[in-house]
Amino acid sequence: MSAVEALAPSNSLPARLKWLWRALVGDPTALAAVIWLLIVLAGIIAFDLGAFSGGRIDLKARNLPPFDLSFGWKLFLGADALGRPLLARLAEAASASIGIALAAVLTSLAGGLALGMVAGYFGGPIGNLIMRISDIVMGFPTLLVALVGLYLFGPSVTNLILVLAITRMPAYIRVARAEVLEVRERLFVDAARVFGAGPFWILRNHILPIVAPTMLTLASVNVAMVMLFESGLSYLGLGIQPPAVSWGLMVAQGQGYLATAWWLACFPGLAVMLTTMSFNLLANWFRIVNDPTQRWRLTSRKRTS
Amino acid sequence: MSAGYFLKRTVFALLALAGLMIAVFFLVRLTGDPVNLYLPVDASQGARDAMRVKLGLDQPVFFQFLDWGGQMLRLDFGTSLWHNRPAIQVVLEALPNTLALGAIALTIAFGGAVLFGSIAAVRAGSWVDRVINLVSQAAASVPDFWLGLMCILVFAVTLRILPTSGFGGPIYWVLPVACLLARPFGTLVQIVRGSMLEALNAAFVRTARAKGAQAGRVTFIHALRNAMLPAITVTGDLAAQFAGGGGVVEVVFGFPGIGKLLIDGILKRDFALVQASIFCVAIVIFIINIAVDMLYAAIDPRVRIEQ
Amino acid sequence: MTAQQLRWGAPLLTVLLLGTALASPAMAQAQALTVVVTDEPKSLDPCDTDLSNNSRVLRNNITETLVNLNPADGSVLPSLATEWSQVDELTWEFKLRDGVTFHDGTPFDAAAVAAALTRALSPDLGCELAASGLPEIIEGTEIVDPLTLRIKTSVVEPILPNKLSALDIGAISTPADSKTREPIGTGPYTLAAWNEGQSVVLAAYDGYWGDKPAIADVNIVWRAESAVRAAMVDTGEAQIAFEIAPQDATTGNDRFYSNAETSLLRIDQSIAPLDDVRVRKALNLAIDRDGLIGTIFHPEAQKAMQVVLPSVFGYNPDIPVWTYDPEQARALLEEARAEGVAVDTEIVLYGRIGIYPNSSESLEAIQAMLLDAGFNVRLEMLETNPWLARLLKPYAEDRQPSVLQSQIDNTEGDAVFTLPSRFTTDGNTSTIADPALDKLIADASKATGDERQKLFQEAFKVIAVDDINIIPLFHMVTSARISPTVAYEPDVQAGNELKLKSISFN
Repeated sequence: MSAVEALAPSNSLPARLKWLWRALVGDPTALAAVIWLLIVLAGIIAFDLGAFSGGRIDLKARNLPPFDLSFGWKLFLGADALGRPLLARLAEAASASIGIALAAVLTSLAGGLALGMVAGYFGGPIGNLIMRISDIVMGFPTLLVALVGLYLFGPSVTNLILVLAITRMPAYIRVARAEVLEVRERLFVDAARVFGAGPFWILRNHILPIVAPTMLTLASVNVAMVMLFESGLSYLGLGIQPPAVSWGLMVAQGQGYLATAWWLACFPGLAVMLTTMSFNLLANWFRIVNDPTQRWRLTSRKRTS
Repeated sequence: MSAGYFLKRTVFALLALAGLMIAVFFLVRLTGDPVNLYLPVDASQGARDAMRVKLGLDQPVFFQFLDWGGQMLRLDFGTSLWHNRPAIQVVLEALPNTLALGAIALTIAFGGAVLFGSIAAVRAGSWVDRVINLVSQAAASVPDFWLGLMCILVFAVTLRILPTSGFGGPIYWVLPVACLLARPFGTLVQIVRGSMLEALNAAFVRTARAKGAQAGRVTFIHALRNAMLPAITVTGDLAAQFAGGGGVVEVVFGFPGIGKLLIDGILKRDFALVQASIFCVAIVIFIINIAVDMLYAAIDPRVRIEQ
Repeated sequence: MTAQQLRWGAPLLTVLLLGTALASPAMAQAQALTVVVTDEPKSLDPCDTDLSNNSRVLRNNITETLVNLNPADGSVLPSLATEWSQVDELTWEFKLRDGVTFHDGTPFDAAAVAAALTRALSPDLGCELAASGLPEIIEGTEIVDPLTLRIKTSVVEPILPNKLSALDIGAISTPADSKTREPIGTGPYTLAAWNEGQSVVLAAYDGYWGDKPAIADVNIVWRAESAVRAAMVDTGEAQIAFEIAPQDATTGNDRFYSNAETSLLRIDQSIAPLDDVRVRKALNLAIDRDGLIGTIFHPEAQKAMQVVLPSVFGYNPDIPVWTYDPEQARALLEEARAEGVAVDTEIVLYGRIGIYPNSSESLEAIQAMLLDAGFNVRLEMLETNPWLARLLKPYAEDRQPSVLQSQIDNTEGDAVFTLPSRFTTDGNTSTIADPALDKLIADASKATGDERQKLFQEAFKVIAVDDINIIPLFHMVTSARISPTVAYEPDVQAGNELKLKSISFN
């Protein structure tokens, strides 16, 4: 293992890119994740450009089984309960699903991180108040929050994102607070304080880098949870409204056909699984890439163990 | 963990509980009144108005709130509209089932996650690690009802070794527990593995390794302890979710728990039942949270919650 | 037995016993019948039988009514009452059956019937009783002798017996001020246990006045998923499963039957542009009903033109079914547009989630058909409470023009149970205000015999062809899965009544 490669990459852009590429190739699962996400992106773009035109309802093609090319490439994954090609529906649903999941997760991540760090570092009455409000939110069943949001704001995507973000935030607050409680007692933090660093500087420069990786893991794991929550809410009519579509709604709608037309729920479910796994794997990879003590795993040519 | 701290936490938890119940009172009434759901479609306007009066819904919200506040202080949750029994009775019948289901599922998930997460972290980069990583990711993203229905179709209908659904002896718990533990297991393996990887690669461990020492027992235990903190927090969060019921699993398997009760109560605007359920579940959640906080200190003495 | 045999025999036997104990939990109760429905009964109070999950358990099993309706033609059959006659315009007399006792031993007599009637109509109790208009027309009762009861009405009611088929009679000991969870009736079964959240258990009643049922023990359980219900019959955990979705009802054990429901879309015809009859006609012509049968709706569903089944008294067999003619629909819209009608206004298509299997899909398909014909239609799926708010008056003043997905059932066998509340100016789910139609329906309700039939038929024609207040869809069909070990034929009343008396093991 060359000593040069173990150090941080040089600052020129092409060199950085080349280094990133080596790091990506060093982790085959992350590479697979990127490939999958590119496929999804291609699907979204193709749909927007009209490549799947003809998402028309065709009752005669209802529940057409997949893997039969005699009906054309569009129907390769079969047709849904209204005869629409599943491939087209998956592409159409992709942007909604990923958009909602990412928006919800990023919102609760940002909010949870901020509130959790404040609660953990400062403690006292503010910390207490934050934790008690978070307890109250935790006590609310998600369904009730969704219903209330629906009544207050009407059926909209924004409402759905807010509901998903708010109900998940207490988890982030608690994990962030727990990590901060542990880190703030470490020696280097004490040292920084002695040197006169202000609390927010310490939070940003010392504590955040330590807390961030766990939070990132939590966030990436939560993408799946959010997509599945969205599926449950859409099934009850409180999430995505037909004829709009998301993978979650497709899974919910396909649930009644599991014994007879398994592809209706399976392919969107698979899409959810592969996408959330990809986010997870990339988050893992990103964490290793950013940690100077672990980069060697990706860039060395020798395999460990 | 001093008694004073414990007392303080309990008082604050009670305040939060009060805040929760007040918020629920107002928000649940925002979702429309239940009268139409409890009378036949043919019922006259007079009958509907009579029922509103009987339920006290014709009074201004403020007076309803005062009435309700008085009842709350006496721990009188009222009669469930749907079940025609005291709401608290309905809840207390269903809650233990859900708690038992959740506790069993989480214990197995936690134990399994610690085991497989640490194996994966210790053998990071090997095929064992990759397999565990992929399987746990898959488990974390599978929809409950899909898993439930698939299990029923495979194990009950095709193989005939388990009952499809229902409630009874241990055999009836196998499938619901299995379906319920998939997601927590997947999530926790990720958390444990991630945190242990961090700890195992901390500078001093690398130094020790470079000097020729193996990742010994001491470092392993230290790494495990490092991973426990987020793992326990997330488990606490999952436990709180399960206390409110693995609703979908309960619905699919016909398991008489509080998840289905709550979903139905909310959709049927059964205010008394919803309030009673949230109250009991919230108490369980607060107990879990306090327990989790106490566990932090036991695991990592550096964590000081009191100031 | 040799030592060799013993060595293997014991563990083998254990495994075998364990295996059977684990594998067949249902085999323990060999002759008990298990029926699986969709949901737990809300209440087993005899006065709450409007809900099918309640009436399935109670009606003619635990409790009985004065009369029953013939499923084939809606005629009135004796049950707890043996004869009845109208002694004057406002009074009916019922002769009650002798030798009947309630499950608690008390005798069945006129006093019990009078008490049950008073209780069911009491506004404080809030009973969910299916008999339309009963509270408004019952004046009082008169006990002539223990086996003769007179019921006084406030208006002329020619079909009071039909309406009384909805009143289940509970014992006098039933508390008058609260709902009971322990119904005491006269029926062939008693309530052995109600395991909340799990099952309802019925046991045969030895003192029953009629023929003893073939099956002595019945368990009623509930599962929300159609696939799970169907699977339970396959594994032997249940013998009868109701409400099997069309896509699951594909095996030889699945029996379909008409469930007396008619699906439709109700047009809110007081809001423009739906107040123009051409627009309403176009809505009907734009829908390909044949395309929906066998795909989204059950293959045996029948195209409907009115909201009652052919077996209901007053059904009009002469109304031709709508054809599918999108060209004419477009032409009608053009014609209306040319005269200044705002046909491009957004019309909302309101649906109710889960109202019948594949209900959301049916609305998506219908929306696509309407868009094709040139309408501007938005789909909004609602859960039950907001849907009810739109179904029932009072309607919001500034509402958008809309069409509401709905379903109407009629198991009482006479059109009077359906028409007044839905198609008169004052009807609480009515969107039509036609004084001529009001008079027609009022006259029909008071008439008897051929006159009555003629007037009701005329009313249906006005609604379907002249006023075009609805977009009728189908007379619905549902499926039940029945194990071959059991002999059971579901009829049109099977949605509300589980006739346990008629079921036997093969």
